[in-house]
Amino acid sequence: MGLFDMFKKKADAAPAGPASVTAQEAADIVCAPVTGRVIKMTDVPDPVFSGEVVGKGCAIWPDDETVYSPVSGTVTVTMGHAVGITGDNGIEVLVHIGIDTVDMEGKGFTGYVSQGDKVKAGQPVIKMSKAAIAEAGHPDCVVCAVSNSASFADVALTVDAESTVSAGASVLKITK
Amino acid sequence: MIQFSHVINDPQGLHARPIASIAAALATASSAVELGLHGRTADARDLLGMLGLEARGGDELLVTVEGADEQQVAELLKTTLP
Repeated sequence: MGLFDMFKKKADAAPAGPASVTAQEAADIVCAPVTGRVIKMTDVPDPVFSGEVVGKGCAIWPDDETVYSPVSGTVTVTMGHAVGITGDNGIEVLVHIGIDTVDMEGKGFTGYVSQGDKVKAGQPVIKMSKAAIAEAGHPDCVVCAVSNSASFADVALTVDAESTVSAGASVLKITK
Repeated sequence: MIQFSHVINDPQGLHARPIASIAAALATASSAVELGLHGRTADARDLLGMLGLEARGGDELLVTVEGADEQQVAELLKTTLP
């Protein structure tokens, strides 16, 4: 391999994302995808989420811009402002950044994973620009919905609503 | 079994809001519903599966409905699909 090849390989490598965080992962746990203030799903300012139509779970008003995988599993959905992960533990989670942010068409979001990728809980998946979301006029709360909630007896918060959590900390407990 | 094709009008495609509407519309239905696009299929009660189709505005979905209430469900879907 010549000197030129070495440079070429570097140029082709994917942009390095932020470092992973330590996740409090377990078979029945969903970890916080972002650092911030936790609210109940029923308090999310959008009926699609507050009505738990997408699933039970919670949302977090973010203090930080990096969003991490809440479970270890396989990436099944990547949409710029949202990521879906099918957990190795059978828990399917949709992490949706902001309300009506679909109209930003991916601008203001940097994705670090693709459909089919294996991810670990606490691995960075998307970085948002809070400034870009504010500029678009949207709330930036990060919804963490268990999209296959109907398969479980219960999905409950493991922390008090309105408390602040760090990314990777346990936030939801699933009862199978 | 009923099959029909549906061209997605919403330029943003099958995103969170429309898939939630589809799943909610099917909550009381008994028929099996499958959405197909580009050789892949998703159960219309599987939210991540539908999002994973990555259907955009202008894409043509092949919708398959099968069950006792397939007539009503097909009509309902024609008004619910984005």
